[in-house]
Amino acid sequence: MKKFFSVLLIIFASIYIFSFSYHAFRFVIEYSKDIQFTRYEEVFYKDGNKIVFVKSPKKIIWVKLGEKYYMGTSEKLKLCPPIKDLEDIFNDYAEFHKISQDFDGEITISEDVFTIKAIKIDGMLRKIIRKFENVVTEMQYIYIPTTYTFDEVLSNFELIDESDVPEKIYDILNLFLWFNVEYVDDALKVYAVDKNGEGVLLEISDKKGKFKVDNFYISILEASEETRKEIENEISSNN
Amino acid sequence: MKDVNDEIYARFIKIVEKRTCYIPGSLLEEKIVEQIKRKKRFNITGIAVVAGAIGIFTVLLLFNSLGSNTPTNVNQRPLYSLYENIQQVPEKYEPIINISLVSDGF
Repeated sequence: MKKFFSVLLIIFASIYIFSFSYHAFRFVIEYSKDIQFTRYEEVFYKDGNKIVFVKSPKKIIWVKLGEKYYMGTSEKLKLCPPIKDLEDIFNDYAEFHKISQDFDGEITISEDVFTIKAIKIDGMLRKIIRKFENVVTEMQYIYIPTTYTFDEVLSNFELIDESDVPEKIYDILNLFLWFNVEYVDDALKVYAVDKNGEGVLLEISDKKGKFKVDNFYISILEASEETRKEIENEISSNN
Repeated sequence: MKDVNDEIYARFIKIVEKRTCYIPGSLLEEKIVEQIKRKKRFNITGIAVVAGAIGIFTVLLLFNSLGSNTPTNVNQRPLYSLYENIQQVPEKYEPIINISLVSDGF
């Protein structure tokens, strides 16, 4: 019996010791020679799960719980496709290149079309910088102690397993490195960078377009031949 | 009659003296005519320069405002992942816009 309790104690102790959590404010600045964008957010992190309160440019809350992601602008958060911040992107590429996360100092990963650098001090991420052509995206961390636990914060939200974003559209967007959107003439213009660093321009509309995907229509306005084929394959495989 | 003319001439000289600081001499009339011509020329050039500048400024302003309303070609637009899109959009598009705001890539 004593042995059993000892083992149980060791298991609980190791879970407690190896459990990793943080509470931080993050500033994301994206800039080039003549323009600058910023995002400001508060993050509660625990063992790979996250609650992120985006405060600027728009109040949005997103949660990562295991493989599931939720997003919303109130206490009701709806299921959504995976969201990756610079930290997740760095972790993915570090894992892909088999780079240990246990480092102090800085590590730069060079891909064909961009570089991503992470700076850690005392085992904590302080800065992540991605450079693509003349555009630099930088995430800075300010760690602040908090009296709230991850679970306490999470308990304020109702998680709804129903998505507003068609998964099929997400699969198409997932072909790119990143994207931004603009609402023009009653349609969404999607400006993206494909995996080869080439520009892509898509139009998502609910009225007209070349391909029908769920309740939307998608038109490929600009893309390299290779990416155009990839998108078309993705659409046809989805349908 | 001559006295009246002389008087007018003397007054004219005084006015010119005050305006041009020229001391009357034998070529005074030619100098005055030349000065007036130069002044006129300067005025026309000045007006032309100012009008031209205003014209160019207006054209630039017009093109600029037209350009901002026209959808940009993807190759002319810097490709940001953090583009601050806070447009008022129909609800159906909002989740896609929100993802683009909070996500840094894939």
